[in-house]
Amino acid sequence: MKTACTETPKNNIQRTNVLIKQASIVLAHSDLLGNLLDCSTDLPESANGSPLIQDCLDLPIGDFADFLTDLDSAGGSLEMLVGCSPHCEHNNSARKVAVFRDSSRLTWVISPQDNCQISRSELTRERDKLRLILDYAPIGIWLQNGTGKLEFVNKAFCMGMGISEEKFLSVDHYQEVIPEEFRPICLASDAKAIAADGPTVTIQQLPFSDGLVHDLEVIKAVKRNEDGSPRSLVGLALDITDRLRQEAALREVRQQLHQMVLDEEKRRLQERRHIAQALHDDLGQFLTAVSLGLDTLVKVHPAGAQVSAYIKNLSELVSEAIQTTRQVTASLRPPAALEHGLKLAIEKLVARLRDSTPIIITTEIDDLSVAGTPEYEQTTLALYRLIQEGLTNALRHSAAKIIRIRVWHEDTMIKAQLTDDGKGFATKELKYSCGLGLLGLRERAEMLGGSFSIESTAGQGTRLLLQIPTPHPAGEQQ
Amino acid sequence: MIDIIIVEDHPLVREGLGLALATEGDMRIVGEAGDGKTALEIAAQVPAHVLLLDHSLPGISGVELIRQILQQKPELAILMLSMESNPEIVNQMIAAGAAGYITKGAKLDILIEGIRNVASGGFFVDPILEPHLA
Repeated sequence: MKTACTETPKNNIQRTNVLIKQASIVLAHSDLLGNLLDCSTDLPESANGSPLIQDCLDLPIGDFADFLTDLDSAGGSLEMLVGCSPHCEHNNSARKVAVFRDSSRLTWVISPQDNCQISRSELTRERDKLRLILDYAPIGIWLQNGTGKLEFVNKAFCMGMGISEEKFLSVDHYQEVIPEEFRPICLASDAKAIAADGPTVTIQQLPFSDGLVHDLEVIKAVKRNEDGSPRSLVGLALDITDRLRQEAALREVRQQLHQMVLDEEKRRLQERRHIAQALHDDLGQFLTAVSLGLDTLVKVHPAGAQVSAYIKNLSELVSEAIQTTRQVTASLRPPAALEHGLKLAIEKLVARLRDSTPIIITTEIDDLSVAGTPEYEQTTLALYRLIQEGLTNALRHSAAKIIRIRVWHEDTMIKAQLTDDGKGFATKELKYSCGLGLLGLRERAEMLGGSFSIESTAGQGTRLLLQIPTPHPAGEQQ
Repeated sequence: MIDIIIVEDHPLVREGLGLALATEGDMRIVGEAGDGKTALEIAAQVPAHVLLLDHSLPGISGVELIRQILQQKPELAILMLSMESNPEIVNQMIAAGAAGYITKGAKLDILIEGIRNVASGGFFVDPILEPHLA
């Protein structure tokens, strides 16, 4: 059976309306003054109750007469990309609007919102923002693919290196734009990053546009394909030239300070030797002569009992003066540290102290193999004094049963440790109470380029740890 | 009679020793020296029973001087007279062959007792040093 064609204008309109709705297109008409005549969908009432189509559809049209003029100038049709009405559920998205004019009215076709286009637009904006941040971050940033071709390099790095972005991105492998002598370290750094599981850090050098070779801390991280092969490599380069220069300057100052301390120690030592020598050679001998003379006087010229007793008293006083001179002389002399090494010096110190204290003192002292240089002797003397002070403090204040002294050589440091099982103390109170001597130790250790630490808990003893750099003979680099 | 050689670099002390010992009827100063080299020469040339020796002298001194003197005059009794009271040094001198050790500042009676003791072949150490010696 043949179906007769029953198409009518009304049917056509109905079918068109269905298609329009299915296509999510809004079809509307307005008169030439902008008043909305009809619309293929229900529109929310405009915010101000206006019958104008620009209000109902939230179109960016100012004066309608001007718009109409523009429309006529454009040949009677216009396309616009406009934002969605605040009432629209797709707020913040946009639609394409096409306007056609005939003699008495305008036809408005509002396309469905173009989410892809909006996404691309937002993506572009976000990418621009990101690019801005990356370009001017105070750090070199680049991205290379699995074969070493750069896909991105930021402006900071380009400016630092004095190589344009275009040049960086034009070569098949970035090493083509790196001076030859610096390539191996760059490639080795890449290889290290590719071989590692996570980000790697290397310190390397690159020539910069200021004509100087800069030190860089380079962090690299690799993005991999499913088979583990490198897909891309991100590199970050922080210029640490100034930091390294400052650190070197600081090291030099510390070294100078260390040397000043050693020089001062040496000067003090010489001074003490001179005083001791003077006491021994002059004052001691004079007093000895006086003592002999007084004793002889009593024997050769027996006087009255009162005078004899007086001379004997004088002789006793002179003898005491000689003893005092002897003691002062001995105390001014350098400890055995300078003559027989730190080990023997500390053992002798401990042996002397053992006679005067019930506290058990144990020693475990390594033979320090760098002995013999004047620098070593000065450091050893300083170390001895530090141990002497720490030991004296422990004996006076710790109420310990046992004190252990350990001295050993580790890497570039000589370490001395004193531990006791005494009453301990809260270290934060150190500066306010009895700890002036211990604080002096810290100051002295730091002046020598070392460190001093105290660990103590009330009732659980104390541990002192001194660390002083192993001295190097003059002229030898550290 | 005990014949004594005084080896002391300080003239005033040397003179005082000479005067003090001369008061003893049984002692006689037979030679004096102010340094190690002269001490060796006098010890070689002048017969004596006791050599009073300071620890610190210009030139050769201490352990080396004791050894060289005893090498040429083994019968000579060397009595150290020194400001030094370090037990380690005292022991070194005695180990080197000194017959006795007295610190300067000891009473004259102690010195005289020490001289008589070593002259008769004995050994003498200043009482103040005894507790510290090995």
